[in-house]
Amino acid sequence: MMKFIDKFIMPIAAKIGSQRHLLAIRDTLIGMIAITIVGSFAVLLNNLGEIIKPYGRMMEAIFGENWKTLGGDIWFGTIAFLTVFAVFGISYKLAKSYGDDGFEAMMVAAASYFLLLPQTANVSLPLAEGATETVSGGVWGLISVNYFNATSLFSGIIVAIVATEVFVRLSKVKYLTIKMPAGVPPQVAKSFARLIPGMATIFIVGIVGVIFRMITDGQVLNDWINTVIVSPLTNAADSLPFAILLVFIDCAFWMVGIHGSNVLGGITSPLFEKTGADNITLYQQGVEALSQYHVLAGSFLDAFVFLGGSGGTLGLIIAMIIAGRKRYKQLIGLGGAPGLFQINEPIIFGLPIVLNPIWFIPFIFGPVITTIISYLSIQWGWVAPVTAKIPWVTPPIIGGYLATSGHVSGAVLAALNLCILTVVYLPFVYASVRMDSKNKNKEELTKNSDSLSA
Amino acid sequence: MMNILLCCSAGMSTSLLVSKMENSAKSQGVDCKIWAIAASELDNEIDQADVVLLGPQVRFLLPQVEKAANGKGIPAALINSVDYGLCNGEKVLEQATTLIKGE
Repeated sequence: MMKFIDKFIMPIAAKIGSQRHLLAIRDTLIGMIAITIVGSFAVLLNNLGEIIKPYGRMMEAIFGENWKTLGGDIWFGTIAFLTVFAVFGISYKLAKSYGDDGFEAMMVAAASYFLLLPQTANVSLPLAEGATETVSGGVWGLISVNYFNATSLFSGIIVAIVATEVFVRLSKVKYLTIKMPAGVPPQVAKSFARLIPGMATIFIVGIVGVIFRMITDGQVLNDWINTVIVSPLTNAADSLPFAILLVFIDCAFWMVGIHGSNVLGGITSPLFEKTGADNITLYQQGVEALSQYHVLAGSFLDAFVFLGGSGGTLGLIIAMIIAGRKRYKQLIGLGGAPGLFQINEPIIFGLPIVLNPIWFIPFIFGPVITTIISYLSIQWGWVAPVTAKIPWVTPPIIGGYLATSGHVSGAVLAALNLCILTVVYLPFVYASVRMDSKNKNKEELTKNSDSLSA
Repeated sequence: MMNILLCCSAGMSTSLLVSKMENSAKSQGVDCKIWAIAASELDNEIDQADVVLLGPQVRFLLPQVEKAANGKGIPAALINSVDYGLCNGEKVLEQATTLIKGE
């Protein structure tokens, strides 16, 4: 079994889990947590005013009618510019992975992204104040925020990666670097060395953009990527079958002792980051039509499915407390407190769950069941959608409450899922305790008979 | 003075092990610095380490870590998964010391 894993599964995990582009994307999006959490938190604080009325009235009494301005500003400076941060971060991390210092690559990639954006935005305004007739037209110098927020995240990622790749390759070409005489300060010499590769990269991206517009009759690369690739992809990804598949793969990796979420992070983090930020923006704008919100968004899995970590192991710990306190005393002590904060390595490796056929069923199917329940109850409008980003170490139930921006329905769903996970694990805890005591009896019997015969 | 670097996905679960290892180091009177980081931070921290130990859940990174560490003459190895799960600080500390002495 171990051989099979080392031969077939490890290479796959190694390939996805250490693929440099996916790593750069994942590490950037995870590293942006300060930006995304503060933006999400600001929206949460604003909207709690609608949910908890006394709080809203108090804020209004203290800071006046416009108390939500601050939260709105913070949202604008963070979530509304998500793609910009991602372009800078991904190009920096990717260039670093090639041993470059990343600074110039970051600048060049950002310029490449900006130059592809349309410089004119179409606006329509009422002819006069209060008039129903409108005048519309293109205004130069206005850029739609949709080119900076999560709507454009994938095109941003693509441009950042392509520009960085081109730049890093060109910087390695010897005759493209300008050599300075020995007396020139190293920093100056360094920036000159990068001059031609940087210029060439930006020119190449610019030319590609121009040619693309010529071919497609004026369409912008960004819009094209969004309509042709991203929308179908995110629509397919925000579906129950995909959610189940993802949870299944994640848990299956853990079953063989590999950090599933870590391996899949390069693929899942841009997806969840985009759908999550889309939801936060919808919520910030006060959109009430639930059909517009994504279900599989942002912190969905952390808040509702992986309670206590992948596999929903907090349910297992509760089941152990109910049915196997004596047998699992040490593990409950070791895994209990980390489990409250979604860390479950002590349980996974200590029990162990890894390669242990008894735990295979609950560890994989418990989370699959809670995924189905969570997905459908949000889709049917029983539970509020995920509209806030929570750190993955947020304890269960509190996580469900915060991720839905303070809706009690979120906490109830998480609590219900925790009960379900406990019930799913319970028979297996019973069985393992029974099996253990049987083995022990047998051992004692043989021991006794040994001593008798002796 | 030994510098022991533990490395996992986010540096969270290995940090549980750090405190256990520090305890057993203290009780054995061993002078060492032990700290935990995320795998993505390894390049920035590896220079300060005498040995790198990897959490079993990211064992697919071992070839990469070995390459980075061996280039600098630092031993790198995987933590035994049962010791890891049960936070057996003493065993892991022992593994680290033998690896450093083996050099």
